[in-house]
Order: sequence, then structure tokens, then C-alpha cells
Amino acid sequence: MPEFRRELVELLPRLRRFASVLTRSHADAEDVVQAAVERALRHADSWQPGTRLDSWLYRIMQNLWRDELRAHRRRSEPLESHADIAGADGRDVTIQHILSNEARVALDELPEDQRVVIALVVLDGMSYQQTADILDVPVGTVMSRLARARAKLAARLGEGPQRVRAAK
Amino acid sequence: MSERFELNDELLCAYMDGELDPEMRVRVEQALVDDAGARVRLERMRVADERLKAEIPLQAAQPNDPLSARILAPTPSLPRERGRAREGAARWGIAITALAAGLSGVVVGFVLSRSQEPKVVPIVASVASTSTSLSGASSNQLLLATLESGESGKAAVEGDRSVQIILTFESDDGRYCRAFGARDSSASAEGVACRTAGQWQVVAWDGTADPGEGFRAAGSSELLDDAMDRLGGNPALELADERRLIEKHWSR
Repeated sequence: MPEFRRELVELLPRLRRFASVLTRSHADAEDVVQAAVERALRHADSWQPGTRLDSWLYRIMQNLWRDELRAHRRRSEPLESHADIAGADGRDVTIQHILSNEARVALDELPEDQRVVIALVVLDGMSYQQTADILDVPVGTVMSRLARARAKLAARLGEGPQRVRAAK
Repeated sequence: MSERFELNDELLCAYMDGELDPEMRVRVEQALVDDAGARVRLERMRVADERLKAEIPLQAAQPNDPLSARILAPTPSLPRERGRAREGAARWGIAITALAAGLSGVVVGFVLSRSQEPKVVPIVASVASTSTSLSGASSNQLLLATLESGESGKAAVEGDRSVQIILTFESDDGRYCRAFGARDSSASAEGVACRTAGQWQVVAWDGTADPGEGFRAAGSSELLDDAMDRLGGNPALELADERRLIEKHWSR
């Protein structure tokens, strides 16, 4: 269990970035990360060492977010917008920064299924198969979502002010 | 290469991401030599990728991150272990039982798993409604009083116990139902209660939920979400409509 907890802490920066892409909201991102951590710790006994902890947490976060969207729809409440973001502690500032740049805005304009694929493949470096496993979709679906997302992002960012040649 | 094939975006992405086998990779590189349009698309996608990585970087862990501290704490205050969650359910369950018995209701049985068939939402506890005000409620009456007259989003507190209505909705069969969170100093839970023939019936109860720590929406409890879906999944009432019903003691 101590090892499990330590790995969980090491994952937090990635979980927070993924959550910020998933939710497009500072407050919701923090809530999703916290709720996912709670759920992971409650079900730590069912965790199988040797399997990927990050994939498991990403799946949990997606499920929590899906449930939260359903709850919001039920309450007919709008989700928090970027304009509402405010914060004073370090984490708030960090996430505020994540949410405030041009690439971020372009990413946020994508549909959720495309944002998530970008977060996993481009930002997190997951393979197509790992991404497909997390999302529970075929690899072909990952490829098509990724291609559509990248085409849109390329149109917005591909000739941006900071042309950077890929090292890949 | 004698065969020319279409360098569509999916193929270019797979090339960028190192997902192609060596033979296919060579074929793509050969095809790119003759396809200026594909080269431009590939370059733009690479630039967009690099900007995303540069502008949405991984943030280093904060030294005083409270979530990290709580995860690593010997007895974390935030994440509750299974045993404790069950204990919490039992404690509040006792409160409901006492509430039901004291107000001539009938306890039918507890629902703490998702194994119930979805057609009929089972009754967890049934209690007679009264016009008890929150200020005069005993600790056992707190839940009932809040169900009867509490507004969504406002917590009713008595000693170390608190109850808060999360939302109010009308079920498909015409009952008014309320999702609520309940907690005391050591345990917390969420539930759904519906008003039938002058009684509040608790139809779902999740002792693993935590209404007081951040993610308190119905999304934190799959069991309650399922229960609300089985009741029709209707939108929450507006606060003004909720207030009107409270004033009229839930009569139409």
C-alpha cells in the first residue's frame, strides 16, 4: 500500500493535466483528480501490481467526469467557464496557466472525444493500443479521432508564431 | 516504390507517432518525397503538436500539495477505506431506522449494492412527514426536517451532524424526490428520498459517498445516479419551484 500511494502521488501532475484537458475547468479538474484518487484508494485492494496505474486512473477520471456531466444536465446547471477561474494557491496558478494559452484554447474547442485522444497520445505519449484500452474503443477509432483532431489543431496552430520543428 | 498510396491524415499521424512497422514507415517516407501537400500537412501537425506540448506542459508537483500530503498520510483523512465507509453507512442506517420507527414509518430494507433490478426502486426506509422546523429538529429528525423543508445547496446542521439537499426532481410516476448528503464527524453518505402519500421514503443510500469533500454531485455515487435514472432521470427543479413546494408542504 505505501508503494501504491507513492506511485499515486507521482502520477498527480499527469492526472491534473489530463483532467484539465478533459474538463476544461480548473475547479472541475481538481475535483475529478481528487475524486479519482479517493476512488483508487478505496479500491486499492483490487489493484493488480504490474498493470498500469495511470491507465486505471484515467479510466476512473473519465467515468467520474461522465457522471458529473450527467448530474449537471440533470440539474440544468452550466459548467464552470474559464472566465470563472480564480485561485490563490500554487495549484490554482498552475492550472490557470495551463488554461490560458492559445494552444489550450484551440484544444478546448475540440469535442471531448478528440481532446482526450490528444491528451493521451500527444501530451502523455501513450501508444494507440494503450489509448484504445483506456477509452474502450478500437484502435481504428483512436486513429480517426486523432487524425480529425490534429487536422483541426494544425489549421489553428500549424503556422503559429512559434514555429518549432519537431524533434521526432 | 512503384505503388503510390494515399497519404491520408491517419497514416501521417501513425507515422508521426511511431505506430507504423518499418516496412510501412519506409513506404510513407518514399511517398512523402512525391507529395508536397502531405509534407505540408505533416509539418503543420508536427508544429501543432510541439506547441501543445510546449504550452500545456506537465507541471512539477507542488512541494506543499495538500492532496499529495493526504495520500501519503499514515491515516489519510481524505480517502476513506472500505471498512470505514461501511461503518458510515451502518451509522446513518441506524439513524434512519430510528427515524422511521419514531415516526411510525416502516423500514423495508437497506439497499447498499447495485444488484437491485431497475424496474422498481426499492424503499430503504419510510418515514412520516411532519412540519417540523429545522431549528427544533432533534438529531434523529434532522434528515426528515431537511427533506421536508431544506433548500437545495443549504446545509442543515445540528451538533456534529449535517444534511444537505443536493437537488430536487420529479420522478416519472409523479413523486417529488430529493438527493441529499448526510454526514457527521466521522462518516458521510448520500441518498435519494421520494415523497409518497405524505411520507418520505429513502429509496437509495450510498455509504461510500462523501458529500462534504469537493466532488459532491450525484456523479460521485453510481448507485444514486442509477436510482435517479430509474426514477426517470428528470432535470432538477428550479429553486423557485422548490421553494413553492416547500411552502405548500409538497402539495401541487
